[in-house]
Amino acid sequence: MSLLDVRGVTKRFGSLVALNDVEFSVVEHEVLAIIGPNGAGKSTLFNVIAGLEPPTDGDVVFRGRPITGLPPHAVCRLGIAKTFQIPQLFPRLSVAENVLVAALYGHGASLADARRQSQEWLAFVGLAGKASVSAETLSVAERRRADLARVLATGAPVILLDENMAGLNQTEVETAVALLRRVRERGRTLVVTEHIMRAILGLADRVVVLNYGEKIAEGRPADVMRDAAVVKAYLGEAHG
Amino acid sequence: MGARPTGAEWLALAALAALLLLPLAVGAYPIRVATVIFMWAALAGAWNLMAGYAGSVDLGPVVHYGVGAFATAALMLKAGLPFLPSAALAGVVAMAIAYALGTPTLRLRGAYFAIGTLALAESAKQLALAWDRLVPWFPLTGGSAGVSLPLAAGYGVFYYVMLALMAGVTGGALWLRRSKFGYGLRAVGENDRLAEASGVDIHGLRRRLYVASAFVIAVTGGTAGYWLSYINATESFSASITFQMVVMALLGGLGTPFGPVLGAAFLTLVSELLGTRLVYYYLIVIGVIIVAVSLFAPTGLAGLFRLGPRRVQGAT
Amino acid sequence: MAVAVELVQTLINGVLQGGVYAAAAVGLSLIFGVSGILNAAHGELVMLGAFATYWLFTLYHVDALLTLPMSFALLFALGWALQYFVLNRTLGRPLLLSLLVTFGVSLILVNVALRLWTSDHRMMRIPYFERSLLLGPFIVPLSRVVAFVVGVGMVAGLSWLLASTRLGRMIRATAQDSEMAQMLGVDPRRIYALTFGLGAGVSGVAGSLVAFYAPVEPNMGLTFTLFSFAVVVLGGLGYTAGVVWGGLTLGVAQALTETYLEAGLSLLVAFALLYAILRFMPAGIMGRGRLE
Repeated sequence: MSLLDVRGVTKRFGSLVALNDVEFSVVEHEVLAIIGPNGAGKSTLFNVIAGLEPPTDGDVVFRGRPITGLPPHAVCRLGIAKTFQIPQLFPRLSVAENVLVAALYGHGASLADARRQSQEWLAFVGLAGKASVSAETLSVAERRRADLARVLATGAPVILLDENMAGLNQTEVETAVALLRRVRERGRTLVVTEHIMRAILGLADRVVVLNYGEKIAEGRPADVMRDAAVVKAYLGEAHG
Repeated sequence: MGARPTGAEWLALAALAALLLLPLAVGAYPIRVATVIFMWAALAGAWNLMAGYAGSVDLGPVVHYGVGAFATAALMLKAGLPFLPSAALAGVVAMAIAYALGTPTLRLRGAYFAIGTLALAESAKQLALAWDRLVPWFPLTGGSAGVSLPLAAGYGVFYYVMLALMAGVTGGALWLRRSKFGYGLRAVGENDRLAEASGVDIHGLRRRLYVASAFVIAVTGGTAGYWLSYINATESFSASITFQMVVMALLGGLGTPFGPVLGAAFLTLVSELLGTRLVYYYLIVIGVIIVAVSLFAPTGLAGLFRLGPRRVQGAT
Repeated sequence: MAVAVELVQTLINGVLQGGVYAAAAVGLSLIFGVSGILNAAHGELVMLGAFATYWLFTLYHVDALLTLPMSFALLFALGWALQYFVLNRTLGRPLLLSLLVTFGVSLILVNVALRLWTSDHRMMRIPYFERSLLLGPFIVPLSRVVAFVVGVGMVAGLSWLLASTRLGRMIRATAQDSEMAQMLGVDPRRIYALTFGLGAGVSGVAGSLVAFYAPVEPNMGLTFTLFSFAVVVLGGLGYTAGVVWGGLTLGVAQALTETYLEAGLSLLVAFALLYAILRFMPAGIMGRGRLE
């Protein structure tokens, strides 16, 4: 039963084609990884799915309902939430309040419930100690976790993680992967883009590969990694 | 994130009780000055909600003021309604207009929103000046000559109406600190794109606030018009009203519930001290204050007296 | 036939006024494009330029055209000082801050002017400008033509300076990436001050040109601030050459309003036009403006 369908999505910026007829489905409870060289269109794809950009052509379907062209807040409330490549915050609100907003508006909880949920999600990502400090004082790694807590608090069943592990060291990556496994155990569906291959291979059930805005491969991680087209895309013509 | 009233809030409640009884204790002149302070506190407070909480710098709030003034006058003169119902109805009219104008305008962000609202206010002023010529079968504004309102019996009603408006706006700002709506607005003010991605309908929220502040500003405009017994398009839609609102909110402390009250009190008293003969000097002083406060004390008077919301600092 | 004559005369009036609007607005556009400052005191710079010319001509009998470079020099100095000592402190901080500070400056400038010169309207009487050119059935006051030519010439000159001189390259580099420019040996604070000085100087000269054919008074600034905002948005925020398109559009729209509707509505038309462009074509008429 596919939860999210991306059907023939094309996105043009003037004469630049960022996405060309991309098509795939996401099954409930799976972890799907979207990979590809820099500039392949991964972030653009996420922006289209989350409603931040309208596609030039094609549709995004969630639970059988087309959501193409809906504003971002509507997409979020329907059930798809996205993290930001450069973690975003409400700088002068406390960390707990940052997550609170998502619980109030994304999830639609009452103020009392939302406060409780905010504390719970912060504990889940390991930021309980930072609940009452200003969000702008967090380190990069902490901001990533706060962003994750925010997205979890929206209650969205589908979570898009846009290079959530960029800039983390080895230990931090392992912690992040363990955290994501627990997120998946909680019943969420994850769509992840990453450059850190080890993380992907350890975590993902399936992989979709994009190159220059087009899908060039799809399947289980081990199979995709051996695919000639994928190797060529990453390493260039000489190795194809 | 507690929900219990703070010390400052209890103090404010006590001050409100004292103000309710003030007319029994003092004469006409202090009451008049107090009424002026309440009026500007209400206006600056309304502007402060949009700019300080929701991060939307509106440079045309005077449009609601003018609408309130002329709607109140029209209801009193043409429909023969007494003052209070006229002012209240004028507020509702202003809300409807604010909804209609706000829907397209609030799609603008940042500098564009600022310029757009300014353009809106100046257009309204020109429209008001030309109205009686354009719509001769329903004259409203008296062109550049303006409209005279009936004289009021005493000054007590103005004192209490303005006090109610100020208390309402300040109470609203305090309520926002611990309500769902308030968190949504502050999220919009801090990072609107992030708020949207977290499920906040930023356009809808901003519009709700815009319409609510329009009500307050309009009723204030209507009350001021009746108080002065005279209104005209140039003054009731004047950008200088916007300027005062901005200065007072800024001086008092943007984004704080009591800032507008402090700013209004301070500047009104300065103006009374400098007197009306020295109006140019008063405005020069205002200009210097704006520059100095903006550059060196952006948290305003409220920051000095620590009356802002509890800004929690980092662990270091 | 008379209809056609009236229409063309209106268009001529509009174009001539539009050129002056473009000159009046180009300073605002330049400053915003380079340092991101939305100068709420812009109109006051125009007003001061107008007064500079008026007083130099009336009190010291300086030839009207000769007052132009003097007006430029005076306003350049004022603008440079304003940026260097006051506005440089607002860099890197939110837009609201520079808007508020420049707004405070505008209050100071207007009220100092009112204090010094009162709110009387003053009109220059320049004998050799009191003629009109007659081109067939069309009447073109000489003062307006001179204002147009000088105004458009200034916009062209400024564009040339930005595009082809070393100073212009430094300004553009600082505008694009001030950190990078700094690493290449450019002091952004000096560049911002120079840019503001240039913008102020040009605005002052525009004011001087207006003084040739219109009354001068301390409160004339606000209208020019608003019109200049309109011209800059119409032409595209951050796209300096666009002020020509913005100015012409505004000038022609106003002239058409004055001829076919009524004079009192020309401001309304200007602001309604500004609002419409902000809402529906925020990148300006030519679509080259910067979007938020």
